Amino acid sequence: MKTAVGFINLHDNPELGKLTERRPLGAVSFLGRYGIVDFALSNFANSDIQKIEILVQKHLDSIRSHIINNNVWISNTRTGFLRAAINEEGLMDPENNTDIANILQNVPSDVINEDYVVVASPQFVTKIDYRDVMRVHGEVGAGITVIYSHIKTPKEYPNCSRLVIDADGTVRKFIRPQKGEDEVNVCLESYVFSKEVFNRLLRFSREISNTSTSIKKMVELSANNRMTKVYAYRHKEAVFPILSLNQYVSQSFKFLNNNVRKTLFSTDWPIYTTSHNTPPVYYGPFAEVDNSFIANGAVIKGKVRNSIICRDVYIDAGAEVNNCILFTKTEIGKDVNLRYVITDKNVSIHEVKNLMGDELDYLLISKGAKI
Amino acid sequence: MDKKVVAMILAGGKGTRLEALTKKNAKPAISFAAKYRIIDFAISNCANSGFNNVGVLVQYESTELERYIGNGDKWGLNGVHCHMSTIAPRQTEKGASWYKGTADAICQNIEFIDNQHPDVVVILSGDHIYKTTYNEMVSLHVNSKADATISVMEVDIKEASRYGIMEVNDKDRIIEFTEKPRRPKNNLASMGVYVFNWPVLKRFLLLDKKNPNSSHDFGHDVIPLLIKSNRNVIAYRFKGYWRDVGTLESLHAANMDICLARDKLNLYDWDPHTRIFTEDTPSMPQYVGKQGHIVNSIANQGAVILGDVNACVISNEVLIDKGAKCDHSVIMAGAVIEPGAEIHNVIVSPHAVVKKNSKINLGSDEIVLVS
Repeated sequence: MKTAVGFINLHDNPELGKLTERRPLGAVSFLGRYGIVDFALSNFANSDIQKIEILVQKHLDSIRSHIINNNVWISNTRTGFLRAAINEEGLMDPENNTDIANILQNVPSDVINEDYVVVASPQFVTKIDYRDVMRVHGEVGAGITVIYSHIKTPKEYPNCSRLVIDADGTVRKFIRPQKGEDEVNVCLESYVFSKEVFNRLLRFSREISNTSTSIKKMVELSANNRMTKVYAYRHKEAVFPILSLNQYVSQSFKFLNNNVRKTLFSTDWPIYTTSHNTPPVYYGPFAEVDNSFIANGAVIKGKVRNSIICRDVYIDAGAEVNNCILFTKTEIGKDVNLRYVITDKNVSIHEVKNLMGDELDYLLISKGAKI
Repeated sequence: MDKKVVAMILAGGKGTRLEALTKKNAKPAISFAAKYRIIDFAISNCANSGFNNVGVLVQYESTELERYIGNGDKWGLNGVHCHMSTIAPRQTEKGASWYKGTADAICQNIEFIDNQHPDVVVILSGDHIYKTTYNEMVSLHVNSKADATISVMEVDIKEASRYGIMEVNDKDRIIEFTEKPRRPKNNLASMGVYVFNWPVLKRFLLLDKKNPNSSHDFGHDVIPLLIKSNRNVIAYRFKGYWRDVGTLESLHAANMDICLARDKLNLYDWDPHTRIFTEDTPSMPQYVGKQGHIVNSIANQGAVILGDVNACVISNEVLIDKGAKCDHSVIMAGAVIEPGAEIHNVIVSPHAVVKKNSKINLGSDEIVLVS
């Protein structure tokens, strides 16, 4: 059986405004009970990848506290591992704080011994069975396999590299987004490398002391210069890109639709997340809930409509919450009325009775605010 | 805590009165309050009391219960200085032997307890619902120089014949203990929670073992023997919510207390000293649909509520379909209430299906089980 090490790449992830001011994208709450990184982690878990390193660019603490119970994502905690790695030198030198530099600093021998290296980026929420990707990778004799999705809505993927693919499935080149695009092959920034190729890339980076390069740049360079066989693997499952705050909001609400939900959640592909030992949701005598996700620990006494309510949120009687995303431990007082609002963790709203954002411009309340 | 404590939880009973719920599952492993199992309460109470050494005595249909308890990690009892294990009856040099009674179960495991060198042994039942720490009781036991301390509470005199009933003097020393008396003299009932000095208990267990007329039960035999021998046996008056859930009626009532009488057993008080820990499930977030209506209820993650719910306890992966009406019911994991079905005062066992448009137990005060 081939073995693999998985890297979850939190370097150069999209920024979601204030939500990523003090946490990486991967640690941003999603659908009430997950961190965005859980989907990539669960893909690894469900693909039997047992050695997982999360490459953190900055704000290590929020990722570390999320993965404190690492046995949620890996089966054997002795032979496998889940770690979060940060390039401490890179924190002082942002230009050189790259994923490659992070690996060079944190992989003890600078050499990967597993057969394959799998890289995933959390901003593309989807389910990927890497066992199949690795099988194809081996069958076609690729050095690098690039996972892509054929997209009919290119505007949802601004700034994402496009693939030009030859008839035999190899990547001819990566290109930047073009004007007037119709259908495109979008790179999901998830790759499978043979260990020899990956170790060569690491050696190359080390020898030239070029830590400003990145995995993405190396892959694109390898394809564009035909340095190894770079194969394109078409990923056919639904993909939900989270590349901006607006997109984060729109993707979140899409999942209130059962048909959308079914594309990501199924009994054969569990999404694992850390446990917080919260009690079930409590609905009071006057609760009115309509088309919403409610996470455990929430106490709902008021009205909630078209919303996503995270762990341990308290909504008092008489309060109305419409089209909102309320993060963990938000407290909404009596008769408070919210529309199109996102509250970060530990926000408490009692005094101000009306807070309104706009469908296209959500009002974002910072972590810990007391209003 | 100065005294070294070992807690032993009795979890081997069959629970016949819970009908099909215990057909293939031990009573302590049965679902409770949407997210928990009954035994979570006793074990969490131990964890919250700072007890690191916990043995769970299992016998009837113990496979699932043993898997569930594992190494105690769900309750944090897998760390340094911790020792948690399930102990089933086993074959020894002297032959094979089932646990013949509650006292015999402890007696057969004297070596297990001795190996941990305790001063005090706390004996608990795995099928009681209450939130507490035992520290005050152990302190009373130590400060009173008692040989045994029994946790007691006042019950309705009409119910008293279901319990072990005590006579105490003005200093709360127990002068008489009668297990399930036909004509109870008072209403001071044993909760099945005992604190013993280990050397004393050990001596009396060995005495009881030699008695051919003994049923080897704490309530019937060992405690009356201690009192008859003029040992210092005292009562600890427990203040708070406590329920034995040995029947469908009491299991239903205790579940209803969680959603309808939250002042009695509040899972949402955020008291860090009495949190109840349990196993998590990789469930989707809980969803309440556009026509869904849920009040006076608790519901766990993974539940999908599209129908009408009043005063119900809803476990993970339950589907309450459109047009279904659930009232005063306990719906266990994976059960489905199909469109148009109506249920009242029902316990729906795990993965059971209530068929479309069926009407179950409407207008009845009885509690029925659907399995």
